[in-house]
Amino acid sequence: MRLPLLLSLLCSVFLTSCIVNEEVEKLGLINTRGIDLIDEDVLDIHLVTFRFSNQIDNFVTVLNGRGDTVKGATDNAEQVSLFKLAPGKMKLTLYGKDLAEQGLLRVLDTEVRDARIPDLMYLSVSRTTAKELLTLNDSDFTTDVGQLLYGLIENHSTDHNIPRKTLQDFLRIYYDIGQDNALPLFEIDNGKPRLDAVGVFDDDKLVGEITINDAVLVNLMSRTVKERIIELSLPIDPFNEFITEHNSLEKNDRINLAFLITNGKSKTKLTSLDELTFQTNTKIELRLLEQSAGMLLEDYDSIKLMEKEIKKELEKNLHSLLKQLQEFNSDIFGYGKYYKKTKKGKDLTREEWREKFPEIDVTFNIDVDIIRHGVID
Amino acid sequence: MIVKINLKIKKELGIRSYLVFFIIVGVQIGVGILSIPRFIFEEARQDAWISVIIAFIYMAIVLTIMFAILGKYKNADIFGIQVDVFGKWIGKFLGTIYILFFLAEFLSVLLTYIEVIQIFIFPTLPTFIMALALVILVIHSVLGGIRTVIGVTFLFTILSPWVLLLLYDPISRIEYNHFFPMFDTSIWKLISGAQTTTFSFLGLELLFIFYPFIENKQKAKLPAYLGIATSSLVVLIMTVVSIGYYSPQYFNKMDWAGLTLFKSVSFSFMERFDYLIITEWMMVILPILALLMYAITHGMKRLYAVPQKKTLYITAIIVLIISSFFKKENNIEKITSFIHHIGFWIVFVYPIILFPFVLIKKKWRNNK
Repeated sequence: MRLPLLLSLLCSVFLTSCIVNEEVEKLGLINTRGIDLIDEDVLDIHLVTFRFSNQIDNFVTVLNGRGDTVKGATDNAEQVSLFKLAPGKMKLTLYGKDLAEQGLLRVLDTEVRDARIPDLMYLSVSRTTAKELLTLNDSDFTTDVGQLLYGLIENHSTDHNIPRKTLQDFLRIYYDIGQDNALPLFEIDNGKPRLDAVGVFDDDKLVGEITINDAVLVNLMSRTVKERIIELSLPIDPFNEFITEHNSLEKNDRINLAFLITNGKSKTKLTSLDELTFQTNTKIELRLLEQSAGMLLEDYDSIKLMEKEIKKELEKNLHSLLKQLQEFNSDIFGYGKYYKKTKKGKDLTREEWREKFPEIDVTFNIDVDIIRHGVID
Repeated sequence: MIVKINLKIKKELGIRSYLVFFIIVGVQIGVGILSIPRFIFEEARQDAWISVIIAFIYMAIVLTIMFAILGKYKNADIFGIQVDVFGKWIGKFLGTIYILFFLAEFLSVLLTYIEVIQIFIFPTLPTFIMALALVILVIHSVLGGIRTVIGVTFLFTILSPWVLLLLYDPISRIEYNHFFPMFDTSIWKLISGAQTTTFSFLGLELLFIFYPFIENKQKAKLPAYLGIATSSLVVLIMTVVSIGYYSPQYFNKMDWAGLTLFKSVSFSFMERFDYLIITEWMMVILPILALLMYAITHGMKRLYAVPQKKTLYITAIIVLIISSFFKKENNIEKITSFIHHIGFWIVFVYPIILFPFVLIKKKWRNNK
């Protein structure tokens, strides 16, 4: 009985050295990665890495490497680094526009194959190149550029809504027939990164962009939206009788409003399989934050009227958004899913939905509810 | 040497009937659960969950037959029963097949687990080292005798279910449309999906080995049925979450779909929960390895009167030698799928074939 005990003890002491040990002082943790395509087929990688060594002053560095594959380019970047690069805590990957337009699938293979790459890493696209964004002079920001980009994405959405799309979300949507991806699109504005638009994809290729305000509408159609500001501009004519404060504002022919969506949900159903018609019923609850016309809202009718006008405006916006997306042939709403769900028997193919999506017709039916209008009428 | 048909178990070696639950759950939930949802899905598509339910019903029938076979004897195990029914030579031969099957199962669990460690955590860790560490643990617990083995099973089985709570995150990402159109899969596809499901339920045959040790046998049935219900429920949960979480085409590519589910779980104090799950999984597979190893040594003692310790050490050495030869992922997959297919016939079909023989034998004996 003694022998096995002794053996186990010895093993637990000595076998541990069989594992390659990695000290954090000798590692460079990759936080953000930018991938660009240069010269047709060569990948240019920029890595924002953290190092924990007390011999160095600035603990963030940007490394650069080139190669034919992502792993090869990373290895190339490692050659100029004192540290072994660890990808386990990567938070964000930024793709250059050229690469995104050519298709992301070639660089996504390794992310799935390598178990060390975190699934929760956000994906995003740069309007120019990833290099330009990641090599911005970051002395103006309170944090490094990688963290800043990450923070911008986090601030723009909650839960799993656009533009907060992780690697896992992207792959899931890519492989799901009947839905397309949308990733945040960064640009540089006055030397600072800015998130204003969302790039839409046809399979793995970037084909166009919509504004971040439109992305809210997309989220509203496909998921629950909470705590999100939406700006609307309505024609002023219907509201004339409620405008009491006759001042200069009156002369404008539109009234600008800002609302907070406190709760928004949709239900979509396929109304006709042959005619490709869908109906989406949406229910949104709004809190008025700002209005530009000095309108009095003590009257219940005024709120009713405003709800009616918002409904009209939103439905109009959605129709034009759908039309725009049909031109891109990118179904980020995911109407194909409902088509696939209803259609029994043969599986829907990618090409089939590509052909059908531009033909679909959707009836949007929005139920607007203004539940609060702040501390004044 | 004569194989005794009925066993006399010393009082201090007996195990309580409720522990049957832990034996069954402990041995059925293993490495298979990390990969099986994908294979069920390949057969039955979005209706894979129905296959799991069919598999459960079928397993309940097999379990009933197993209890009926065991109930015809006073205190026998499969080795004794086979010798009684088929005579000394065929009985011994069939018993040997069982032992070899246990050895193969042992190897498949061990190799698969080591493969997962190499893929996810330590790519350069030699298989032999990891196998050595695990086998020493197994030797240590088997040396303690049946009560230690059952104790390990009990303890580790109640220490692991919290892992399922971590599924909350993948569940929050479920895409409900993946389950539609429902009931679209043909019945034959569902049944072949159910057959695939049984791969993760191997281990039920250990009831044939451990039955004589149970003290109050009348009370053993309920824990056994609860045991298979629990392991089916766990497989069902994993399957349903996986179908919702992965898109169909992507799912077909995932080798460790069950494990990858946990990759999206993240807390501020722990970024990557999949690493924790893998290390935790050692607690899940250790009972399996210990139970199988005990079954091997016990079987050798019953059939060939080899001392248990001798079998234990020899088997350990054989396992270590074989495991250091398996390096390629494809080979491990091949051996695993071979064992799954053999296992289906041994565990889930053979008892049904054996049952009429036992009945005939009984009748013949009564007439004599």
